[in-house]
Amino acid sequence: MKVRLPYSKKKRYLTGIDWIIVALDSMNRRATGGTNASQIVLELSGAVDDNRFCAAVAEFTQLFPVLGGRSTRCWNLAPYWKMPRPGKRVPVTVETFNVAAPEILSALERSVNTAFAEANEHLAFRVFHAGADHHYIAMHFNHRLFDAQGAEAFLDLFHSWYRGEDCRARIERIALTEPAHLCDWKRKFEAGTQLVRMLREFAKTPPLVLPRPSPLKGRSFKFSVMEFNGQEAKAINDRACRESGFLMFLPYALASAVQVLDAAFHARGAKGQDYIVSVSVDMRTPDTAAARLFFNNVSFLFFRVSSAIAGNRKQVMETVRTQMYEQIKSGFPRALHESSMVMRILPASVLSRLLLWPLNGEFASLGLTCVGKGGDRPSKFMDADVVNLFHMPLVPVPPGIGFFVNQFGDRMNVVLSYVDGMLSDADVQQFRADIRRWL
Amino acid sequence: METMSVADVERKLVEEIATILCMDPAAVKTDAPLPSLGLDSMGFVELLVVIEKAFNLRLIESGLTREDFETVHALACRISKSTGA
Repeated sequence: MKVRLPYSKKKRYLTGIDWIIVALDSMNRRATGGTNASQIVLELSGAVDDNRFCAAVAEFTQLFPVLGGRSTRCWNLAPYWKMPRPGKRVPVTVETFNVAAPEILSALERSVNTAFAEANEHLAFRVFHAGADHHYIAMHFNHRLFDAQGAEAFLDLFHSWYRGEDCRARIERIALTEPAHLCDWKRKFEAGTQLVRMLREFAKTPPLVLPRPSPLKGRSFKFSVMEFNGQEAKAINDRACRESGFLMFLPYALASAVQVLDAAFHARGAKGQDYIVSVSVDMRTPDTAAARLFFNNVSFLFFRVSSAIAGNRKQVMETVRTQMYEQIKSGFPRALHESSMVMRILPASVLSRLLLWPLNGEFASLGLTCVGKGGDRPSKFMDADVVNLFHMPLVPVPPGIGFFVNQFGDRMNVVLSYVDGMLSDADVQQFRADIRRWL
Repeated sequence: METMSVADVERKLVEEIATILCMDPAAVKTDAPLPSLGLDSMGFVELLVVIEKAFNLRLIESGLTREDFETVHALACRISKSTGA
């Protein structure tokens, strides 16, 4: 298929948020040796042909030279994504494994913890056969290239293309252009002032953080994945609507995460005063969602929850709702977006340290992400039925622990991600029991 | 504040939702559930902020019940009731 890609063949300027993501990558490399990466896992029932899958991935990914790029800096000091030379093959790993069903989570953990071999490699696909009709496909990606929603959209596009649909219009709509954002400095600095004011508020008391194991270097991430069927997910959504309010799932999920993890934080001697939770929020609008597939189209909200009320979900929801309202009213997510353009002047390694400066070497108590349904999805992937789809993100250290909720069809998944050693097996078992009881 | 009818409130809400979602106001159906228009938690809170500015109503502190917020029409009725239109 011949497609015309409407972008510069050489470069795509990075936004401030893209550069923060690069800095978080640098932060994780320094702390654990890992990257700021994630993977989407598709659980499939039916037949998966390895050869056809590998060939399809190899052909499809070559349509996107951007996949083989790398970040660098321009003469005007703005960082940009350097596209590979024309004709250069995009490095994408595709591997297949046979795994016993009980070992599947360990295999998926190994997959997402695997470092990319080359500096310009950011994407890998791994197929795990857990039985004749039971398979998992993991799309492992560096966040430099995709955020969670973008990665899901890329996987959808791959599948549409595989089914033989004409995807030219969709591919040509993908925006791989971005201005250098080297103007409107007054507005950017004013946004920066707003950001600093808020960070000062947050820096008044140290965040409650779980002690991290030592040494950190070389430690991998572990995961606990909990699936809720359609009936359970509906009950959770109804309860969230009743207790937190219409379209207020985020405060509900955050309150549940804090409530459930509070026991582990105290049992493990967490230091600090209040929980500070960083939440990534999608900044796409419905009309830009299809175009903004690559790079990062997110911003962040930050919430402070007093540890004194952590066990009281109603109070936590109320404070989170109010903080969310005030932050959006003050334009914080856009101010962060705007002011981060100025931060691009700093090398990623320096910025990754600066991000930790307001909270004395910490960033948050935990991270939280909620990904919505993302539109209608086909019930099949290749020739197999899609049973489930969930995310396994590596949460940059600090905090090194995060809570990820996604909805797939009528199902819901809750994934806890943490640096190995931050939680014990007993903590995780308790977390699983409490989530079932309280979410 | 000048009294507005439900239809006036609806028109204002349609304009604001179209701005938040960067879409054509004609595509905002007043009887469609807000999530089906593409409004998520963030967009919904942005709408509540706009409502505070336009109608001087701080609805984030109300119960945010599904009945009052499910559609543009339901929300317009809720606003009209609160502003005494």
